[in-house]
Amino acid sequence: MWKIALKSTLAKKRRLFGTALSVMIGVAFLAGTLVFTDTIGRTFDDLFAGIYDDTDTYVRSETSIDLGQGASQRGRIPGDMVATVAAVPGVGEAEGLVAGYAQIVGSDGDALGNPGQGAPTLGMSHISGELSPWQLTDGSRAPGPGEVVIDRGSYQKGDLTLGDTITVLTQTGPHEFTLVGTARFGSVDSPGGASVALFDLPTAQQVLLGGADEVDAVMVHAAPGVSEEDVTASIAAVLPDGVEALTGSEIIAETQDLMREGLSFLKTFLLVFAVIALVVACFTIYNTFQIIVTQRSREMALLRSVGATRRQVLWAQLLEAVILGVTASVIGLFAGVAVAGGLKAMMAAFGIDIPAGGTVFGARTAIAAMLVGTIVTIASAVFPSLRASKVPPLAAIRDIAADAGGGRSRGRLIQGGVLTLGGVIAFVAGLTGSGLLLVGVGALLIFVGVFVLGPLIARPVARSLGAPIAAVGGVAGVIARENAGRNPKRTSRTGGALMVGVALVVAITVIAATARDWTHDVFAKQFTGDFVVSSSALGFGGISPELATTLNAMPEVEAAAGIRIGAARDMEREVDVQYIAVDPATAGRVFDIGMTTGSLGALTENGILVDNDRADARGLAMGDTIEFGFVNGTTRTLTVEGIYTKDDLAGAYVVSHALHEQTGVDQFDFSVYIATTGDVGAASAEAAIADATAPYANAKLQSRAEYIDAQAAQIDQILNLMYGLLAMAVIVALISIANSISLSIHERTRELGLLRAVGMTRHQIGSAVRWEAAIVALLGTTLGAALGVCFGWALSVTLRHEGLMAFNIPGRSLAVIVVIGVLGGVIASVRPAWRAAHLDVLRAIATE
Amino acid sequence: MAAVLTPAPTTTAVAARAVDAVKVYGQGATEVRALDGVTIGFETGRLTAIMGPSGSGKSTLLYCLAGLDSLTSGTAYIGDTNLTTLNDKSLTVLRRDRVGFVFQAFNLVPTLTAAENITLPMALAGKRADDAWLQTLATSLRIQDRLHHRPSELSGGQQQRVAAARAMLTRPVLVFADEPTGNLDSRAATELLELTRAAVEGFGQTVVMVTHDARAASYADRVVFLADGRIVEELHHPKLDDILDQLKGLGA
Repeated sequence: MWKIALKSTLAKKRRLFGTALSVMIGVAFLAGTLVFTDTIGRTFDDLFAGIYDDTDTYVRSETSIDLGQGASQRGRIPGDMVATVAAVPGVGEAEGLVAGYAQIVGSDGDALGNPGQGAPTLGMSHISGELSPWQLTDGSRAPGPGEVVIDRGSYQKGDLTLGDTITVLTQTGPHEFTLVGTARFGSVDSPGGASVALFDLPTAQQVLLGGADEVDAVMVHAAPGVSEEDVTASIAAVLPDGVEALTGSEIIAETQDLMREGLSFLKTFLLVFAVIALVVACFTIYNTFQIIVTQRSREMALLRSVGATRRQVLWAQLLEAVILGVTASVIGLFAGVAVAGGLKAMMAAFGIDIPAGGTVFGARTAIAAMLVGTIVTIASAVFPSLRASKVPPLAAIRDIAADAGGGRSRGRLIQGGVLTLGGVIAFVAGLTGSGLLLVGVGALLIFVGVFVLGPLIARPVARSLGAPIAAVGGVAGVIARENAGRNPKRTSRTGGALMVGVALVVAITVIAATARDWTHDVFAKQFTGDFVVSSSALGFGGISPELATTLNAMPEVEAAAGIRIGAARDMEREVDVQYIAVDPATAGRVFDIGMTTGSLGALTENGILVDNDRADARGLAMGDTIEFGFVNGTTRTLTVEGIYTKDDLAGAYVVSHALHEQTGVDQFDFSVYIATTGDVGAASAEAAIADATAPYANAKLQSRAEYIDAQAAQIDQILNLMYGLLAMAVIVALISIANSISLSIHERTRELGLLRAVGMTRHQIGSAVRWEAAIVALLGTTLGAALGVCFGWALSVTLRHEGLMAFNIPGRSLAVIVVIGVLGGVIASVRPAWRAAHLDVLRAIATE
Repeated sequence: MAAVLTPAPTTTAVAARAVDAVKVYGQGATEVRALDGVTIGFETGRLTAIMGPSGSGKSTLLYCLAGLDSLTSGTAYIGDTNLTTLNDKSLTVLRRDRVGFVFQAFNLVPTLTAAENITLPMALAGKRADDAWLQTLATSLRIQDRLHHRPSELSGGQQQRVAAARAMLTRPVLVFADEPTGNLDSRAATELLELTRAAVEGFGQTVVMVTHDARAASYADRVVFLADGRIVEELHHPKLDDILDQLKGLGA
């Protein structure tokens, strides 16, 4: 029996190819994601292990505040800790480490790197001896006062020359240094794509910290014969409160864990799309097996009549699924390596440059890909196989109709209805708080429900969608319409895969359009200035506050409000919160955040402004106090000096620069919002601001309109990335159409021969097949678009309490998606149409 | 005493039989009584032909006797086994081990070679085919040099002879043939019928054949005529002309 199943599988190689391809794509995506994230993970693991490989003890502040999204901010420790630690017995070498934002400006005047999206741009104190992860290259020397050494990667990218005077942007503004050397990190020019500027310790403290005698950490190399545990314990014994000592192994493990945490977000994001592609593949496999089972019902009936048991027929079908699943998974697994490269290129194209070293192909990747691919295939084939086993032996003798039944049944209506309803309930429950997984499960149930209901509407819908096609397509159009309508189960199953893909594409398109409108709306109403100087940095580095000071001194400028982001520990609730820090003198003249009591301008160093929702939730009123803890270990009691209603830009809390500057963190404006006086023309004001901004190579000057458009365009960037990732699922869906049409043609060989015999031209046959594909694709895209709009609407309603008030159905984008879907269907049918058109007439008619 | 020692007459002389067999398709106005109380037995080692006009119930009788279809009332036996008491699994095993089939068309699995098709019931049962018996059958059916060909590489006559070999490989109690010559030209049909006749005489194989073709029926030991679900006549060792006369009487 195994042999029979094997032979029959091999005999259908071509029929199964499309199915295998869809499994392959899904598995390749899955394997690619795992390979990609494993590779990044290994790269960073190696990087951190390299940085700390000679570190036996790492001394740092105990205070750390969570910034969200896996990032955190840690306080610094006094500079004299270096001497304290160096004096501990067992310590061989102790070096103070200072690290902060520093962006190197290339010879063309552009700042290198993009710290907002890619690897960090670091400034560090140069450490000599074994503790240093950096090796100076030939012709280089350690930096002294007024000198800098940079990583070899930036040296090449920036087209710089030793001995040049180069500009480095830091917290304290642009600085000029003499370039005295380059350094390599182990064997790489630029570790993980990060750029590094190395200074001597006093210079680093001056330019990176603004002169504070502090260090981020003390790195210790133990004296010969002293273990890292022993030296760490000795050091810990002399440290004051608030300072801690970690062993080298601990600091490596901690940084690696943190990185993995950040990476797991990316992994989950990509895996979601891999799962979507696999779900669409399920629909494709299910459909193909249904068709194959129908076409083979006579063969199976023959087997049954000569003595095959139901179970034998069932196993033979399932074996076919196993062979298919395993084969496709193996190929998909190896294709995954190529996909990993593609994912990296794609992320890079969208500005997210993730460093990756040698490809990591883990056993876990292989096992996961093989299991998922095989199980998905078998699970999708179970129902069709069960149906195969129920073919009565008599079907071998009598002509039993192919599954052409109308599919109109109460059972179908009830099943489909229950599934869809359950899906809607899960979807809504997920959206209203129970989690994203439930949303996903709900969406899947809705898809399956609509898939089950599909045959009920496929015939009338195919007929009405096909009506214009029948009108323009002549006899080929009429035949296409009838063919699409004559087997509603198959038509709706075939369109079903495309429905899933299109629904997701439409849902994110709708959400993106809504978010774009929201962005325009928010900035239009809440930002009242004329120009914006922005940096790409968000959370790390930014524009030196010097710029805002310079701008505010200019006669053309009425107010230039530098906006900073900070984080504090809410002492009462023991959670870390983010805040916006503003200059009270300027912010109120550039922003309208809807103050109901108090004013931006009156905000003091000991005051805080609170969003009304947050104030209500916490029962805060004017004059109440909040206690905030900061990374430098200080705790401040802040008085509520105002309540505002528009939290879209301002977030939950607003404090003053004066307070933020006392929290021990580097001071950066992520953007400076400018209102001009109007005394001079806009053009000359812009020219003057541009002159002032010029030395800050990482800052970009835009008019109000340009800035708002750019903010909205960031949404498009994410949208395009998601389109790219969903493309896999859509391709799988189109394969489903190609496959199904191709199988239908195989089944209708005689009929096609007859049509040819009675005078239908090749061209007419081909166009009938293509039109049929167009109708099926139109059915799938229309259903998908309708579902997608519903999903988008549900999501936007949920986001309403987050301030996303608008709901926008982008008509033109929807039309483009539907047209692309239909064209895709037609393109998918090109080959089957060619085969149908080139059938040998006599042989086709003689076909049993 | 002698009477006591004489073995009682056994039912093995009858390979299959139907008792008061009734088969009704549809309900109410569309009700069709395909079999209307048929009682008949098929003797071992003989070739029996069932004839009758379209809709007379001859194929239904065959399917019900073979366990492919179930009776509305009455009983059907293969040997001593009452088919109406069997579930699907037992019926399947019975078909596999004790009955052989030859259909009008689509007799062979297209992806398997002739030899694999012939041994299919054994393979399904997880048993090894008797090679000597396979060779004997192949030789007597004149397909010994076609065994490694696929069905698409065989003529229609050869395909039917492969099906006949498959039907006889398990040494079944009886072979059912449903219009075995229906798709064959007259030369191939004659060859198949002659070889079938030889198998009946040479191996003592019991064969029940449904046919439209009077010439095919003339190879039978016994011809049973059905009309409107009832047996209306039977002939033993008939001449072709007798059969044709009978058919004329039935209006076929």
